[in-house]
Amino acid sequence: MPNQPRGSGHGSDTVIWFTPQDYIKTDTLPGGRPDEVLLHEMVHALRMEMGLNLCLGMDDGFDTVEEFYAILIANIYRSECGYQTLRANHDGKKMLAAPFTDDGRFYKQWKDKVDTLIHQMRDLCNAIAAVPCAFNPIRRAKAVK
Amino acid sequence: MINKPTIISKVETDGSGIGQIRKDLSQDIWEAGITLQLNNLTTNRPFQSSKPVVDALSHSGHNTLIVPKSALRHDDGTGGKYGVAEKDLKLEGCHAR
Repeated sequence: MPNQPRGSGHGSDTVIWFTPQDYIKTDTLPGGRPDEVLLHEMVHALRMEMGLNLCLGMDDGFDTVEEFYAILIANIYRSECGYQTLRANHDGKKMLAAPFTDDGRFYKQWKDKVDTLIHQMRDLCNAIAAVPCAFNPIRRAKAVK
Repeated sequence: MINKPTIISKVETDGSGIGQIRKDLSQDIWEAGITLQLNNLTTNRPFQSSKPVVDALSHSGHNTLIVPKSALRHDDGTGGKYGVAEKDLKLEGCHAR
């Protein structure tokens, strides 16, 4: 990035700005529960600490690939919690709609992004792939390979 | 800055400045909320998909600091119909330091 300091690639300490009480009002929205919001921010933090954070632009309302990864993992957690309503993208009010609520269709649509996440965070994705929830595109990707 | 340990290794909180940015919450209540959510992600089932993220964070070789978020964002016209949600969900809440 021009005019931006170059990163070392080794990651760094991170700060998460988070007040759980702010999300009591939003806990009916996909991605709006305080535990989901914290998990979302922790995915960002983890990728920054691993030196993986790269905010490349992305279409479909995700804004960046980093938001796609955080939303994907938070959606898998939400599905594990038993919810059928999932967050569509980085617009907080949109709900994931069919056919992408099917994790096979979701994986097919964003295969390159999911595969990149698995390649970059192999141990984490191996653990998540083992989660037997209804929506788990990472498990689906592992099944294909 | 007074960092306090959490139930997660290498993840700390600093709520010492909350009085300067929030009138509706005390540091104790904010810290209790953080502990509750960390428990939700690691010890209160289900947590099979969330715990690996938290575990990886604590073994990344770096420190993670959680600090209170200013409430100002909620009053600046970005709150939308859901109060705090609509824009807050889109605002970055994590930065490298």
